[in-house]
Amino acid sequence: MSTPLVDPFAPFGALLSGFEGLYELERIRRGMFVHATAPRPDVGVTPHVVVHEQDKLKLRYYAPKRDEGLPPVVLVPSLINRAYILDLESDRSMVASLAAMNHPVYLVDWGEPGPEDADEDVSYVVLELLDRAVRRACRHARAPKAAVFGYCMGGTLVAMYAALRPERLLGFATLNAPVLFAEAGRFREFVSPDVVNVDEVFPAGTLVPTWLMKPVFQMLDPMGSFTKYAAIEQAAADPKKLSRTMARERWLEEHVPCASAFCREFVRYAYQEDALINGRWSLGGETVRLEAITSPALIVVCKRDFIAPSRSGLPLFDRIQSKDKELVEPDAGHIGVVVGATGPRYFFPLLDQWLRRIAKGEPQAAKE
Amino acid sequence: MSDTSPDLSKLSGELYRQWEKGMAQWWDQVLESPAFLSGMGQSLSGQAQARANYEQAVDQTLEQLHIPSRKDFIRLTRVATMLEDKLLSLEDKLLTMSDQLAAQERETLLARVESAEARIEAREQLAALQARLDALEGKAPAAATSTEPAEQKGRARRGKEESA
Repeated sequence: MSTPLVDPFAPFGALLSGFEGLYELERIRRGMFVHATAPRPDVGVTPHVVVHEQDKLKLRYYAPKRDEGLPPVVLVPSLINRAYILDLESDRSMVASLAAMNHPVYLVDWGEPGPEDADEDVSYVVLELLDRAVRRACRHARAPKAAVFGYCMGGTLVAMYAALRPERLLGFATLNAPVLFAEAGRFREFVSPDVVNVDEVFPAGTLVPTWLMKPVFQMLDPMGSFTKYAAIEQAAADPKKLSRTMARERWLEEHVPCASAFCREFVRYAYQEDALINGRWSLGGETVRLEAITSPALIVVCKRDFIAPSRSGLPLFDRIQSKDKELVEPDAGHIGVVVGATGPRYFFPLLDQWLRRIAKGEPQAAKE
Repeated sequence: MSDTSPDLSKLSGELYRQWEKGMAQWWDQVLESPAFLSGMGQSLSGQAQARANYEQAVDQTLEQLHIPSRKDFIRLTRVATMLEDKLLSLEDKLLTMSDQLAAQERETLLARVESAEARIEAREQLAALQARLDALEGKAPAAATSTEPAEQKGRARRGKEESA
Protein backbone atom coordinates (compact mmCIF):
# COMPACT_ATOMS: atom_id res chain seq x y z
CA MET A 1 0.00 0.00 0.00
CA SER A 2 1.46 3.40 -0.92
CA THR A 3 1.64 6.37 1.47
CA PRO A 4 -1.47 8.56 1.73
CA LEU A 5 -1.37 12.06 0.31
CA VAL A 6 -0.06 14.87 2.52
CA ASP A 7 -2.80 16.73 4.39
CA PRO A 8 -2.40 20.45 3.50
CA PHE A 9 -4.18 21.55 6.68
CA ALA A 10 -2.10 19.37 9.01
CA PRO A 11 0.15 22.23 10.29
CA PHE A 12 -2.87 24.07 11.65
CA GLY A 13 -3.68 21.08 13.85
CA ALA A 14 -0.75 22.02 16.09
CA LEU A 15 -2.48 25.29 16.93
CA LEU A 16 -5.40 23.35 18.36
CA SER A 17 -3.32 20.86 20.32
CA GLY A 18 -3.76 22.87 23.54
CA PHE A 19 -7.51 22.51 23.36
CA GLU A 20 -8.57 18.90 23.89
CA GLY A 21 -12.05 19.26 22.44
CA LEU A 22 -11.04 21.21 19.35
CA TYR A 23 -8.12 18.86 18.84
CA GLU A 24 -10.55 15.94 18.89
CA LEU A 25 -12.50 17.57 16.09
CA GLU A 26 -9.27 18.23 14.22
CA ARG A 27 -8.41 14.53 14.55
CA ILE A 28 -11.75 13.63 13.03
CA ARG A 29 -11.10 16.05 10.17
CA ARG A 30 -7.68 14.51 9.63
CA GLY A 31 -9.23 11.05 9.78
CA MET A 32 -11.68 12.07 7.07
CA PHE A 33 -8.77 13.22 4.93
CA VAL A 34 -6.92 9.94 5.46
CA HIS A 35 -10.10 8.01 4.70
CA ALA A 36 -10.60 9.91 1.47
CA THR A 37 -7.03 9.60 0.25
CA ALA A 38 -5.55 6.40 1.65
CA PRO A 39 -5.42 3.60 -0.94
CA ARG A 40 -7.45 0.50 -0.13
CA PRO A 41 -5.48 -2.72 0.37
CA ASP A 42 -6.07 -5.83 -1.73
CA VAL A 43 -8.52 -8.24 -0.19
CA GLY A 44 -9.54 -11.82 -0.93
CA VAL A 45 -5.99 -12.79 -1.86
CA THR A 46 -5.84 -16.33 -0.46
CA PRO A 47 -5.05 -18.70 -3.37
CA HIS A 48 -8.07 -20.67 -4.53
CA VAL A 49 -9.78 -22.19 -7.54
CA VAL A 50 -13.36 -21.77 -8.71
CA VAL A 51 -14.94 -25.23 -8.79
CA HIS A 52 -18.53 -24.35 -9.66
CA GLU A 53 -20.40 -21.46 -11.25
CA GLN A 54 -24.09 -20.81 -11.60
CA ASP A 55 -25.59 -17.50 -12.63
CA LYS A 56 -23.44 -14.96 -10.70
CA LEU A 57 -22.51 -17.45 -7.98
CA LYS A 58 -18.98 -18.78 -7.78
CA LEU A 59 -17.90 -21.57 -5.46
CA ARG A 60 -14.31 -20.90 -4.43
CA TYR A 61 -12.20 -23.77 -3.13
CA TYR A 62 -9.32 -23.31 -0.69
CA ALA A 63 -7.29 -26.49 -0.44
CA PRO A 64 -6.35 -27.75 3.02
CA LYS A 65 -2.72 -27.43 4.05
CA ARG A 66 -2.56 -31.17 4.74
CA ASP A 67 -5.09 -33.80 3.75
CA GLU A 68 -6.55 -35.23 6.94
CA GLY A 69 -9.69 -36.50 5.24
CA LEU A 70 -11.83 -33.90 6.99
CA PRO A 71 -15.26 -33.18 5.50
CA PRO A 72 -15.76 -30.04 3.38
CA VAL A 73 -16.83 -26.77 5.01
CA VAL A 74 -19.07 -24.47 2.98
CA LEU A 75 -18.99 -20.82 4.06
CA VAL A 76 -22.02 -18.67 3.25
CA PRO A 77 -21.74 -14.88 3.64
CA SER A 78 -24.57 -12.37 3.43
CA LEU A 79 -26.00 -11.56 0.01
CA ILE A 80 -25.49 -7.82 0.41
CA ASN A 81 -21.77 -8.07 1.20
CA ARG A 82 -18.81 -9.15 -0.88
CA ALA A 83 -17.64 -12.69 -0.22
CA TYR A 84 -14.14 -11.40 0.60
CA ILE A 85 -15.37 -10.39 4.06
CA LEU A 86 -14.37 -13.93 5.03
CA ASP A 87 -10.96 -13.43 3.42
CA LEU A 88 -10.22 -9.81 4.26
CA GLU A 89 -6.62 -9.92 5.48
CA SER A 90 -4.21 -12.77 4.92
CA ASP A 91 -3.23 -13.15 8.60
CA ARG A 92 -6.81 -12.95 9.88
CA SER A 93 -8.67 -14.55 7.00
CA MET A 94 -11.31 -17.08 7.97
CA VAL A 95 -10.89 -19.17 4.81
CA ALA A 96 -7.09 -19.18 5.10
CA SER A 97 -7.22 -20.08 8.81
CA LEU A 98 -9.60 -23.00 8.29
CA ALA A 99 -7.57 -24.24 5.31
CA ALA A 100 -4.42 -23.99 7.45
CA MET A 101 -6.24 -26.15 10.02
CA ASN A 102 -6.55 -28.77 7.24
CA HIS A 103 -10.23 -28.24 6.38
CA PRO A 104 -11.22 -28.24 2.70
CA VAL A 105 -12.94 -24.84 2.52
CA TYR A 106 -15.56 -23.79 -0.04
CA LEU A 107 -16.64 -20.15 -0.09
CA VAL A 108 -19.98 -19.23 -1.65
CA ASP A 109 -19.44 -15.98 -3.54
CA TRP A 110 -22.92 -14.79 -4.47
CA GLY A 111 -21.50 -12.34 -6.99
CA GLU A 112 -23.12 -9.10 -8.06
CA PRO A 113 -26.61 -9.46 -9.51
CA GLY A 114 -27.52 -7.68 -12.72
CA PRO A 115 -30.94 -6.36 -13.73
CA GLU A 116 -31.68 -9.77 -15.26
CA ASP A 117 -31.51 -11.29 -11.75
CA ALA A 118 -34.06 -8.90 -10.25
CA ASP A 119 -36.73 -11.60 -9.98
CA GLU A 120 -34.59 -14.10 -8.09
CA ASP A 121 -36.27 -14.68 -4.74
CA VAL A 122 -35.27 -16.40 -1.49
CA SER A 123 -36.49 -19.75 -2.77
CA TYR A 124 -34.18 -19.56 -5.81
CA VAL A 125 -31.25 -18.54 -3.63
CA VAL A 126 -31.70 -21.30 -1.03
CA LEU A 127 -33.12 -24.23 -2.96
CA GLU A 128 -31.40 -23.68 -6.28
CA LEU A 129 -28.13 -21.79 -5.79
CA LEU A 130 -27.13 -22.80 -2.24
CA ASP A 131 -28.33 -26.38 -2.53
CA ARG A 132 -26.38 -26.98 -5.72
CA ALA A 133 -23.30 -25.25 -4.32
CA VAL A 134 -23.34 -27.59 -1.29
CA ARG A 135 -23.85 -30.65 -3.50
CA ARG A 136 -21.02 -29.59 -5.79
CA ALA A 137 -18.73 -28.99 -2.81
CA CYS A 138 -19.51 -32.52 -1.54
CA ARG A 139 -18.82 -33.96 -5.00
CA HIS A 140 -15.57 -32.03 -5.36
CA ALA A 141 -14.40 -33.14 -1.91
CA ARG A 142 -15.60 -36.73 -2.57
CA ALA A 143 -17.55 -36.56 0.68
CA PRO A 144 -21.18 -37.55 1.28
CA LYS A 145 -21.90 -34.55 3.51
CA ALA A 146 -20.61 -31.06 4.25
CA ALA A 147 -20.62 -28.73 7.22
CA VAL A 148 -22.19 -25.38 6.33
CA PHE A 149 -21.39 -22.09 8.06
CA GLY A 150 -23.51 -18.96 7.59
CA TYR A 151 -22.67 -15.44 8.63
CA CYS A 152 -25.32 -12.75 9.30
CA MET A 153 -28.07 -13.02 6.65
CA GLY A 154 -26.09 -15.96 5.24
CA GLY A 155 -26.70 -17.69 8.57
CA THR A 156 -30.44 -17.11 8.32
CA LEU A 157 -30.38 -18.67 4.84
CA VAL A 158 -28.32 -21.60 6.14
CA ALA A 159 -30.88 -22.20 8.91
CA MET A 160 -33.62 -22.28 6.25
CA TYR A 161 -31.52 -24.67 4.18
CA ALA A 162 -30.94 -26.92 7.20
CA ALA A 163 -34.69 -27.06 7.75
CA LEU A 164 -35.49 -27.97 4.14
CA ARG A 165 -32.51 -29.92 2.77
CA PRO A 166 -30.74 -31.72 5.62
CA GLU A 167 -29.60 -34.66 3.44
CA ARG A 168 -26.20 -33.19 2.65
CA LEU A 169 -25.65 -31.58 6.05
CA LEU A 170 -23.11 -32.96 8.44
CA GLY A 171 -23.93 -30.01 10.66
CA PHE A 172 -24.35 -26.26 10.44
CA ALA A 173 -22.97 -23.24 12.23
CA THR A 174 -24.35 -19.71 12.27
CA LEU A 175 -22.72 -16.48 13.35
CA ASN A 176 -24.90 -13.47 14.19
CA ALA A 177 -27.79 -14.86 12.20
CA PRO A 178 -31.12 -13.26 13.08
CA VAL A 179 -34.26 -15.42 13.18
CA LEU A 180 -36.47 -13.44 15.58
CA PHE A 181 -36.76 -10.20 13.68
CA ALA A 182 -38.96 -8.47 16.26
CA GLU A 183 -35.67 -8.15 18.19
CA ALA A 184 -33.62 -7.08 15.17
CA GLY A 185 -32.94 -3.61 16.55
CA ARG A 186 -33.06 -0.33 14.74
CA PHE A 187 -33.07 -1.85 11.27
CA ARG A 188 -36.40 -3.46 12.07
CA GLU A 189 -37.83 -0.03 12.91
CA PHE A 190 -36.57 1.30 9.58
CA VAL A 191 -38.43 -1.34 7.59
CA SER A 192 -41.52 -1.86 9.77
CA PRO A 193 -44.83 -2.11 7.85
CA ASP A 194 -45.78 1.43 8.99
CA VAL A 195 -42.61 2.83 7.42
CA VAL A 196 -41.95 0.76 4.34
CA ASN A 197 -44.40 -0.48 1.76
CA VAL A 198 -42.30 -3.29 0.30
CA ASP A 199 -44.14 -3.31 -3.03
CA GLU A 200 -43.38 0.38 -3.51
CA VAL A 201 -39.83 0.42 -2.18
CA PHE A 202 -38.76 -2.76 -3.98
CA PRO A 203 -40.68 -2.62 -7.28
CA ALA A 204 -40.58 -5.74 -9.46
CA GLY A 205 -37.78 -6.01 -12.00
CA THR A 206 -35.34 -3.67 -10.25
CA LEU A 207 -32.29 -3.92 -8.04
CA VAL A 208 -31.90 -2.25 -4.67
CA PRO A 209 -28.90 0.03 -5.29
CA THR A 210 -25.96 0.21 -2.92
CA TRP A 211 -26.29 3.99 -2.53
CA LEU A 212 -29.62 3.30 -0.88
CA MET A 213 -28.24 0.64 1.47
CA LYS A 214 -25.19 2.54 2.69
CA PRO A 215 -26.99 5.41 4.48
CA VAL A 216 -29.40 2.95 6.07
CA PHE A 217 -26.49 1.05 7.60
CA GLN A 218 -24.82 4.31 8.65
CA MET A 219 -27.99 5.33 10.43
CA LEU A 220 -27.79 2.23 12.62
CA ASP A 221 -25.00 4.05 14.47
CA PRO A 222 -24.83 7.65 13.20
CA MET A 223 -22.32 8.92 15.76
CA GLY A 224 -20.14 5.85 15.28
CA SER A 225 -20.06 6.61 11.57
CA PHE A 226 -18.66 10.05 12.50
CA THR A 227 -16.29 9.30 15.37
CA LYS A 228 -14.70 6.37 13.51
CA TYR A 229 -12.57 8.96 11.70
CA ALA A 230 -10.71 9.61 14.95
CA ALA A 231 -9.75 5.93 14.98
CA ILE A 232 -8.67 6.17 11.34
CA GLU A 233 -6.52 9.18 12.19
CA GLN A 234 -4.91 7.22 15.02
CA ALA A 235 -4.32 4.24 12.72
CA ALA A 236 -2.65 6.46 10.11
CA ALA A 237 0.54 6.56 12.20
CA ASP A 238 1.11 2.83 11.68
CA PRO A 239 0.97 1.49 8.08
CA LYS A 240 -0.09 -1.98 9.25
CA LYS A 241 -2.93 -0.58 11.38
CA LEU A 242 -3.98 1.74 8.56
CA SER A 243 -4.04 -1.17 6.13
CA ARG A 244 -6.27 -3.16 8.50
CA THR A 245 -8.61 -0.21 9.00
CA MET A 246 -8.86 0.45 5.27
CA ALA A 247 -9.59 -3.22 4.59
CA ARG A 248 -12.55 -2.96 6.96
CA GLU A 249 -13.60 0.25 5.24
CA ARG A 250 -13.69 -1.64 1.94
CA TRP A 251 -16.13 -4.03 3.50
CA LEU A 252 -18.32 -1.16 4.73
CA GLU A 253 -18.10 0.72 1.44
CA GLU A 254 -18.49 -2.08 -1.05
CA HIS A 255 -22.00 -3.41 -0.68
CA VAL A 256 -23.65 -5.49 -3.36
CA PRO A 257 -26.97 -4.51 -4.96
CA CYS A 258 -29.78 -6.86 -4.11
CA ALA A 259 -32.53 -8.29 -6.30
CA SER A 260 -35.81 -6.56 -5.52
CA ALA A 261 -37.70 -9.88 -5.40
CA PHE A 262 -35.30 -11.15 -2.73
CA CYS A 263 -35.47 -7.91 -0.70
CA ARG A 264 -39.25 -7.74 -0.98
CA GLU A 265 -39.66 -11.28 0.30
CA PHE A 266 -36.98 -11.03 2.98
CA VAL A 267 -38.16 -7.71 4.40
CA ARG A 268 -41.83 -8.69 4.30
CA TYR A 269 -41.58 -12.20 5.75
CA ALA A 270 -38.58 -11.72 8.02
CA TYR A 271 -38.67 -8.15 9.32
CA GLN A 272 -42.34 -7.27 8.96
CA GLU A 273 -44.14 -10.55 9.68
CA ASP A 274 -41.52 -12.58 11.59
CA ALA A 275 -42.67 -15.52 9.49
CA LEU A 276 -39.48 -17.58 9.94
CA ILE A 277 -39.76 -18.07 13.68
CA ASN A 278 -43.52 -18.57 13.40
CA GLY A 279 -43.23 -21.25 10.69
CA ARG A 280 -45.19 -19.28 8.12
CA TRP A 281 -42.51 -18.85 5.45
CA SER A 282 -42.69 -21.15 2.45
CA LEU A 283 -39.94 -21.64 -0.11
CA GLY A 284 -41.06 -23.27 -3.34
CA GLY A 285 -44.19 -24.57 -1.61
CA GLU A 286 -42.26 -26.04 1.34
CA THR A 287 -42.84 -24.46 4.75
CA VAL A 288 -39.66 -23.66 6.63
CA ARG A 289 -39.95 -25.10 10.11
CA LEU A 290 -36.98 -24.46 12.35
CA GLU A 291 -38.29 -27.22 14.64
CA ALA A 292 -37.57 -29.68 11.84
CA ILE A 293 -33.82 -29.09 12.17
CA THR A 294 -32.06 -32.04 13.76
CA SER A 295 -28.54 -31.64 12.36
CA PRO A 296 -25.69 -30.86 14.77
CA ALA A 297 -25.58 -27.09 15.24
CA LEU A 298 -23.24 -24.42 16.55
CA ILE A 299 -25.01 -21.10 17.18
CA VAL A 300 -22.75 -18.10 17.80
CA VAL A 301 -24.26 -14.75 18.77
CA CYS A 302 -22.11 -11.78 19.71
CA LYS A 303 -23.18 -9.81 22.77
CA ARG A 304 -22.23 -6.39 21.38
CA ASP A 305 -23.78 -6.79 17.94
CA PHE A 306 -26.09 -3.89 17.07
CA ILE A 307 -26.67 -4.87 13.43
CA ALA A 308 -28.11 -8.30 14.26
CA PRO A 309 -28.58 -8.08 18.04
CA SER A 310 -27.99 -11.27 20.01
CA ARG A 311 -31.66 -11.38 21.07
CA SER A 312 -32.61 -11.91 17.43
CA GLY A 313 -30.22 -14.85 17.01
CA LEU A 314 -30.67 -16.69 20.33
CA PRO A 315 -34.13 -18.18 19.56
CA LEU A 316 -32.58 -20.34 16.83
CA PHE A 317 -30.82 -22.33 19.53
CA ASP A 318 -34.05 -22.87 21.47
CA ARG A 319 -36.17 -23.65 18.45
CA ILE A 320 -34.14 -26.34 16.67
CA GLN A 321 -34.56 -29.95 17.75
CA SER A 322 -30.93 -31.00 17.27
CA LYS A 323 -29.71 -33.26 20.06
CA ASP A 324 -26.18 -32.00 19.43
CA LYS A 325 -26.34 -28.21 19.67
CA GLU A 326 -24.01 -25.62 21.17
CA LEU A 327 -24.54 -21.96 21.96
CA VAL A 328 -21.61 -19.57 22.21
CA GLU A 329 -21.93 -15.89 23.15
CA PRO A 330 -18.60 -14.08 22.74
CA ASP A 331 -18.24 -10.52 24.01
CA ALA A 332 -17.74 -9.02 20.55
CA GLY A 333 -19.48 -6.95 17.89
CA HIS A 334 -20.94 -7.89 14.52
CA ILE A 335 -17.72 -7.93 12.52
CA GLY A 336 -14.98 -8.32 15.15
CA VAL A 337 -15.19 -12.10 15.29
CA VAL A 338 -14.66 -12.45 11.54
CA VAL A 339 -12.12 -9.72 10.80
CA GLY A 340 -10.64 -8.78 14.16
CA ALA A 341 -8.03 -10.43 16.34
CA THR A 342 -10.82 -12.44 18.02
CA GLY A 343 -11.07 -14.59 14.88
CA PRO A 344 -7.65 -16.30 14.88
CA ARG A 345 -7.36 -16.17 18.67
CA TYR A 346 -10.79 -17.50 19.61
CA PHE A 347 -13.40 -18.09 16.92
CA PHE A 348 -11.52 -20.05 14.22
CA PRO A 349 -10.06 -22.58 16.73
CA LEU A 350 -13.56 -22.95 18.22
CA LEU A 351 -15.01 -23.67 14.80
CA ASP A 352 -12.13 -26.04 14.02
CA GLN A 353 -12.78 -28.07 17.18
CA TRP A 354 -16.52 -28.22 16.51
CA LEU A 355 -15.95 -29.31 12.89
CA ARG A 356 -13.54 -32.04 13.96
CA ARG A 357 -15.95 -33.27 16.61
CA ILE A 358 -18.94 -33.57 14.27
CA ALA A 359 -16.72 -35.11 11.58
CA LYS A 360 -15.79 -37.88 14.00
CA GLY A 361 -19.40 -38.17 15.17
CA GLU A 362 -18.28 -37.61 18.74
CA PRO A 363 -20.96 -36.69 21.26
CA GLN A 364 -21.21 -33.18 22.63
CA ALA A 365 -19.26 -32.60 25.82
CA ALA A 366 -21.51 -32.38 28.87
CA LYS A 367 -21.92 -28.87 30.22
CA GLU A 368 -20.54 -28.23 33.68
CA MET B 1 1.09 28.69 27.19
CA SER B 2 -0.44 30.52 30.12
CA ASP B 3 -1.51 28.84 33.37
CA THR B 4 -5.11 28.92 32.27
CA SER B 5 -4.51 26.84 29.14
CA PRO B 6 -4.75 23.38 30.82
CA ASP B 7 -8.17 24.34 32.20
CA LEU B 8 -9.26 25.60 28.82
CA SER B 9 -8.04 22.38 27.30
CA LYS B 10 -10.01 20.33 29.79
CA LEU B 11 -13.04 22.54 29.35
CA SER B 12 -12.95 22.15 25.57
CA GLY B 13 -12.53 18.42 26.01
CA GLU B 14 -15.53 18.29 28.31
CA LEU B 15 -17.50 20.41 25.85
CA TYR B 16 -16.62 18.02 23.06
CA ARG B 17 -17.71 14.99 25.08
CA GLN B 18 -20.97 16.72 26.03
CA TRP B 19 -21.56 17.61 22.41
CA GLU B 20 -20.91 14.02 21.30
CA LYS B 21 -23.25 12.64 23.94
CA GLY B 22 -25.91 15.21 23.09
CA MET B 23 -25.62 14.44 19.38
CA ALA B 24 -25.95 10.72 20.02
CA GLN B 25 -29.12 11.34 22.05
CA TRP B 26 -30.44 13.70 19.40
CA TRP B 27 -29.86 11.12 16.66
CA ASP B 28 -31.59 8.48 18.75
CA GLN B 29 -34.60 10.75 19.18
CA VAL B 30 -34.67 11.65 15.50
CA LEU B 31 -34.27 8.10 14.22
CA GLU B 32 -36.97 6.80 16.53
CA SER B 33 -39.47 9.58 15.86
CA PRO B 34 -42.52 8.53 13.80
CA ALA B 35 -42.24 11.69 11.72
CA PHE B 36 -38.70 10.84 10.59
CA LEU B 37 -39.51 7.18 9.96
CA SER B 38 -42.62 8.02 7.98
CA GLY B 39 -40.67 10.60 5.96
CA MET B 40 -37.92 8.06 5.31
CA GLY B 41 -40.45 5.50 4.12
CA GLN B 42 -42.06 8.00 1.79
CA SER B 43 -38.67 9.08 0.51
CA LEU B 44 -37.67 5.47 -0.21
CA SER B 45 -40.93 4.83 -2.05
CA GLY B 46 -40.52 8.05 -4.01
CA GLN B 47 -36.94 7.23 -4.99
CA ALA B 48 -37.89 3.72 -6.07
CA GLN B 49 -40.81 5.05 -8.08
CA ALA B 50 -38.63 7.72 -9.70
CA ARG B 51 -36.01 5.12 -10.61
CA ALA B 52 -38.60 2.81 -12.11
CA ASN B 53 -40.16 5.69 -14.08
CA TYR B 54 -36.77 6.80 -15.37
CA GLU B 55 -35.86 3.30 -16.51
CA GLN B 56 -39.23 2.92 -18.19
CA ALA B 57 -38.84 6.25 -19.97
CA VAL B 58 -35.35 5.32 -21.22
CA ASP B 59 -36.65 1.96 -22.45
CA GLN B 60 -39.56 3.60 -24.27
CA THR B 61 -37.27 6.13 -25.93
CA LEU B 62 -34.87 3.44 -27.12
CA GLU B 63 -37.75 1.31 -28.39
CA GLN B 64 -39.08 4.24 -30.39
CA LEU B 65 -35.63 4.71 -31.89
CA HIS B 66 -35.54 1.00 -32.78
CA ILE B 67 -32.48 0.54 -30.59
CA PRO B 68 -32.30 -2.52 -28.35
CA SER B 69 -33.28 -1.38 -24.90
CA ARG B 70 -32.23 -2.58 -21.44
CA LYS B 71 -35.43 -4.61 -21.36
CA ASP B 72 -34.30 -6.52 -24.46
CA PHE B 73 -30.91 -7.29 -22.97
CA ILE B 74 -32.54 -8.38 -19.73
CA ARG B 75 -34.83 -10.71 -21.68
CA LEU B 76 -31.84 -12.20 -23.48
CA THR B 77 -29.77 -12.66 -20.37
CA ARG B 78 -32.75 -14.26 -18.60
CA VAL B 79 -33.01 -16.74 -21.45
CA ALA B 80 -29.29 -17.44 -21.03
CA THR B 81 -29.74 -17.89 -17.27
CA MET B 82 -32.65 -20.28 -17.84
CA LEU B 83 -30.58 -22.24 -20.31
CA GLU B 84 -27.72 -22.36 -17.85
CA ASP B 85 -30.09 -23.63 -15.13
CA LYS B 86 -31.36 -26.33 -17.47
CA LEU B 87 -27.83 -27.31 -18.43
CA LEU B 88 -26.84 -27.51 -14.78
CA SER B 89 -29.90 -29.67 -14.04
CA LEU B 90 -28.90 -31.95 -16.89
CA GLU B 91 -25.33 -31.96 -15.63
CA ASP B 92 -26.65 -32.91 -12.17
CA LYS B 93 -28.54 -35.82 -13.69
CA LEU B 94 -25.52 -36.87 -15.73
CA LEU B 95 -23.33 -36.71 -12.64
CA THR B 96 -25.84 -38.81 -10.70
CA MET B 97 -25.96 -41.32 -13.54
CA SER B 98 -22.19 -41.29 -13.77
CA ASP B 99 -22.03 -41.95 -10.00
CA GLN B 100 -24.46 -44.84 -10.37
CA LEU B 101 -22.52 -46.21 -13.34
CA ALA B 102 -19.27 -45.91 -11.46
CA ALA B 103 -20.83 -47.77 -8.53
CA GLN B 104 -22.12 -50.49 -10.85
CA GLU B 105 -18.76 -50.67 -12.57
CA ARG B 106 -17.10 -51.05 -9.20
CA GLU B 107 -19.51 -53.81 -8.24
CA THR B 108 -19.02 -55.60 -11.58
CA LEU B 109 -15.29 -55.32 -11.23
CA LEU B 110 -15.44 -56.67 -7.69
CA ALA B 111 -17.63 -59.54 -8.87
CA ARG B 112 -15.19 -60.28 -11.67
CA VAL B 113 -12.26 -60.22 -9.31
CA GLU B 114 -14.12 -62.48 -6.90
CA SER B 115 -15.03 -64.96 -9.65
CA ALA B 116 -11.44 -64.91 -10.95
CA GLU B 117 -10.21 -65.56 -7.43
CA ALA B 118 -12.74 -68.39 -7.07
CA ARG B 119 -11.58 -69.86 -10.37
CA ILE B 120 -7.96 -69.69 -9.29
CA GLU B 121 -8.86 -71.28 -5.97
CA ALA B 122 -10.82 -74.05 -7.74
CA ARG B 123 -7.94 -74.64 -10.10
CA GLU B 124 -5.54 -74.87 -7.20
CA GLN B 125 -7.84 -77.30 -5.39
CA LEU B 126 -8.17 -79.34 -8.57
CA ALA B 127 -4.40 -79.41 -8.98
CA ALA B 128 -4.03 -80.51 -5.35
CA LEU B 129 -6.61 -83.24 -5.84
CA GLN B 130 -4.87 -84.33 -9.04
CA ALA B 131 -1.59 -84.50 -7.20
CA ARG B 132 -3.14 -86.57 -4.43
CA LEU B 133 -4.77 -88.83 -6.98
CA ASP B 134 -1.48 -89.28 -8.78
CA ALA B 135 0.19 -90.06 -5.50
CA LEU B 136 -2.53 -92.55 -4.63
CA GLU B 137 -2.27 -94.17 -8.08
CA GLY B 138 1.51 -94.51 -7.58
CA LYS B 139 0.98 -96.19 -4.21
CA ALA B 140 -1.83 -98.45 -5.45
CA PRO B 141 0.27 -101.24 -7.25
CA ALA B 142 2.63 -101.54 -4.32
CA ALA B 143 -0.25 -101.80 -1.92
CA ALA B 144 -1.89 -104.48 -4.14
CA THR B 145 1.17 -106.82 -3.96
CA SER B 146 1.61 -106.37 -0.23
CA THR B 147 -2.02 -107.26 0.59
CA GLU B 148 -2.24 -110.46 -1.66
CA PRO B 149 -1.23 -113.31 0.93
CA ALA B 150 -3.66 -111.98 3.48
CA GLU B 151 -6.45 -112.04 0.97
CA GLN B 152 -5.60 -115.65 0.08
CA LYS B 153 -5.67 -116.69 3.78
CA GLY B 154 -9.05 -115.01 4.18
CA ARG B 155 -10.49 -116.73 1.18
CA ALA B 156 -9.27 -120.22 2.47
CA ARG B 157 -10.83 -119.53 5.91
CA ARG B 158 -14.18 -118.55 4.35
CA GLY B 159 -14.07 -121.87 2.20
CA LYS B 160 -13.51 -123.98 5.32
CA GLU B 161 -16.37 -122.31 7.15
CA GLU B 162 -18.73 -122.83 4.20
CA SER B 163 -17.86 -126.64 3.89
CA ALA B 164 -18.32 -127.16 7.65
